[in-house]
Amino acid sequence: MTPPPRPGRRSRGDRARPRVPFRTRFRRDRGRWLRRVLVACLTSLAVVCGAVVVAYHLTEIPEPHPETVVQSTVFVDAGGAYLGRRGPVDRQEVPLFEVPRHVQDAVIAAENRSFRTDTGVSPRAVARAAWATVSGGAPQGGSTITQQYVKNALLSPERSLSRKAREALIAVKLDRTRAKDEILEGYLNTVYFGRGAAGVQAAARNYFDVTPGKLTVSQGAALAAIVNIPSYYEKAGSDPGVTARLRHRWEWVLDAMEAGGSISPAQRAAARFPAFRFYPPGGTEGQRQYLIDVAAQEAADRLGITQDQLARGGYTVHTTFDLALQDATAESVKARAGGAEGAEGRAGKGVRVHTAVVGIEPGDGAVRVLYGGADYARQPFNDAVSGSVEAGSVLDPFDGVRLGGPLRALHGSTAPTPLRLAAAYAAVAADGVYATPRTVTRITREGRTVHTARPETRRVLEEKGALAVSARARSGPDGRGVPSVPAADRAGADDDGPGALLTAGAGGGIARRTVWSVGYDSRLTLAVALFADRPGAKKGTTVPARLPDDPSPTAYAEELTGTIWGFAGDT
Amino acid sequence: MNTGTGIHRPGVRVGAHRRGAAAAGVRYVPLRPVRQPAGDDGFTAYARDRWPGLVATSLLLTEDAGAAEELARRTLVRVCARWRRIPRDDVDFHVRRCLLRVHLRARRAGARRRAVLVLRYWSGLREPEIAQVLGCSVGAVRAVVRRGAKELQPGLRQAGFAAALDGFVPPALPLAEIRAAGALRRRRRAGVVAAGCALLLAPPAVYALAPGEVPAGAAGASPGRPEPGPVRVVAPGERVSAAPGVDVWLTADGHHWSSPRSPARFRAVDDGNLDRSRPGVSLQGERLDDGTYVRTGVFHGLAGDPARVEVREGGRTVTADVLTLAGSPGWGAWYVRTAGGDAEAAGDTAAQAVPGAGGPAVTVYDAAGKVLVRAEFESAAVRAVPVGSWRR
Repeated sequence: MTPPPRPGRRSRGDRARPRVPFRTRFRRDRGRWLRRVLVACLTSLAVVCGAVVVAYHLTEIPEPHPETVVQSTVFVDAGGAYLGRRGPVDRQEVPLFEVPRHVQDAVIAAENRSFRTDTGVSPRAVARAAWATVSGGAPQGGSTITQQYVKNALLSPERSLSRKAREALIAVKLDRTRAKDEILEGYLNTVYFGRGAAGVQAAARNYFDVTPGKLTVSQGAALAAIVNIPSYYEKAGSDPGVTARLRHRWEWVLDAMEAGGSISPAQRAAARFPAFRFYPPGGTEGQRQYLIDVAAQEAADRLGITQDQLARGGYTVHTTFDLALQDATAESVKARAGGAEGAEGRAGKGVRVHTAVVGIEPGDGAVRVLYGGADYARQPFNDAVSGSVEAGSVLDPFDGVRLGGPLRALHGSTAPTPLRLAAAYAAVAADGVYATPRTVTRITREGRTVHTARPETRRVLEEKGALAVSARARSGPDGRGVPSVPAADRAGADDDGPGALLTAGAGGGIARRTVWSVGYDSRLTLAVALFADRPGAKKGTTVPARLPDDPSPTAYAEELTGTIWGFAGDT
Repeated sequence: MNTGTGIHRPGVRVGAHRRGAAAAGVRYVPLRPVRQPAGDDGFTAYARDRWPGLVATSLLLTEDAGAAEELARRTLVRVCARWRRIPRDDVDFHVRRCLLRVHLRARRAGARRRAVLVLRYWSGLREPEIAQVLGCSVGAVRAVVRRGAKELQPGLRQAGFAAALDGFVPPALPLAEIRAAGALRRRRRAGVVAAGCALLLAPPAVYALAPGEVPAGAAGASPGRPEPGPVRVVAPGERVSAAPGVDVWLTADGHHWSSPRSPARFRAVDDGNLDRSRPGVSLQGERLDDGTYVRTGVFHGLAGDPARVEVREGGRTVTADVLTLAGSPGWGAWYVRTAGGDAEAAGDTAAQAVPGAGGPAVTVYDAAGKVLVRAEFESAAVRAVPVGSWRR
């Protein structure tokens, strides 16, 4: 290289020199290419970042999706036991302070441990989920609680990448504009727990039959574990395989809670896997819908809204019913219906015996028992509330007594409903003070009471008149003194108080058309009505029929009254 | 620097062609025998061979003798540091590129232009090769060359370069110094790379090894602890089918069951007949039409939550299903369906075992396998036998 190349040689060399092999050329240019690629990457990254920032500012937090705002209305009995619900989805909102802290912590431990500190999206969680997917580990979701809330409650249920991006943007924005507790509350109230239950309130009921406030640490951890795959874990309890898997996850949630300091090691050691309700749940006696119908109508009237609004409003209607007594009544009727059905064949084709039972608390009007039919699916018509039953001699004790107010029309009526008749005798039992029958005590919504029902009472009968009615009831054709069954059991039941057990009806001898049996004292008025019908000439109609006389309908009605009275005395 | 001659270049076709047919097929053409010290990798030979050329090219680039030697020396230090990674069939290119990079790093106005011209007219490279050396496009090189040709005729420029090198005596090669500096540089470089890798890999490693992040395969039930039996929470009035035609349900006031023979059976728990402060378990039963037995009962007053109820009868033990109301009201019910036709007489609808035949024994365990209550039934009398372990 020292001597300058001779021009001639150089030009010849230029011509003769072959191209450098491709591999060598590639190797020489490798660095340059890499640099170009790097620059391209950085540029596109910058563009993407800029686009994200712009998109973030253009994104608006949408209103909650209409489907997720709907709540169901739940009916509970006097003791708070679940009666049933109305509404398209099984969901009720509950304020966060009614959800125990350990349940919140369990959900956070199971779904998004960094929830309290992250910014709405968690790159760590995304990386972990990606790694779990790639490495074949247990599949994990990369979504934070905020993202899940956005997905569940704010966006429509469609799946696409752009939706995912929008979800993340909204999550970040939501996280920057709302408190963590607010987000957690929205999440707990909308997340799906399986068994048709969205939200922690419905989940607590469907899995453990408790309100969220009464969830134990174990139960809370189990619910948190279920959120992962609700459609699978909803069979917890009834399916041993599912139960075992849930148990693993439950232990994992509890361990995470202990590691995070949410529960103490002692609590962790004491935790036992909880027992579940089964899914699907066992049936009930098939006539709670009657109660719900009546209570829903009354609740809607009291609130001044339509039944549809009530069903979507997320109310909790506290009814006056006594579920245990109602259940016992239904069973008693069913047990005796076996005999009555046998009689059906002898009495004639298609004759159906109807039983209606109403139990009212005198002086208050609270309906404790309302039996209007055996099976709502076959007969949605409520005999106890809407069925006009020929009164016959059951109104005889009221003859000659001056009645006021709502009972004024009683003299003229020949076929009162069992509810009206029970209310009339309840007025007698309360020394002449009539209380409008009611089935609702209180209506709450999201933990706040929106309506309290008070007894509406007014005097309709002089005290003397009430005593006269009682006296006539006891001395009537089938009248007796104070019902004997509870008298023995009840402390403080005095013999000289108002009270009678009366059996009467329309028609006589073997041609009885209706049988009434009314028992009352100062604490309960019970009316049992028995009547029969058979299919009419036209399709879908019925005409009254004679009661089958074997077994004796009067004895049956009296026995039924006595049995229910006995149950009422027990409770 | 003339790439053509005197190059210790293994297996380069380029060289073979350039030297004509006589050299064709020769894969390794040292121009002079190279004595390689043991353990040497060829760098010494290469450096000795190319030192004068390097200094000459540097001199043309820098136009200053001292700077030229320094430039050549620094180039060789760098080459020495990464000697092992330089492809053996393309050494000259990499050395030249290294030289140009070192030179252009201290960029002066016109240095790049001059470098193109030196490479073109002194080293004799073609435009694409110059572009590769300088890391720019061929078009840019071509433009510079064209402008340079316009300024000064190529022949004259070559003459100028030759004149500049006239009387040039290459200085001595400071080989030992270069090798030492190269080794130092290599070590430093390795250290930097190692530190960078550590910085990159540490967070994922820490993350992967961080405890508690991986769902632990929860430890199974410890040995010796009995598997919990089926315990089911029921809502008041919720019917549970114990057998065909047999329903069991709980209400707030007690335990109900219905069977084909007796439509409504009831065991009250709150009527005062049951001492719920003491542990106890009861048993009722009935023989069904298909010959099996349904047994059911109430337990109450337990010291812990029941997890398993076992019924032992005629030498066989069966696990019963347990029903409780929500909120642990202190009592619950159990039921079990057992095969019939063993020790018991047919038609024994009262379901109490024949005395002397070893009546059924009902045991209630908690989740830890501790006996909460145990009762043996021999006759119609229901006798609860509290076990000492339940209360401490």
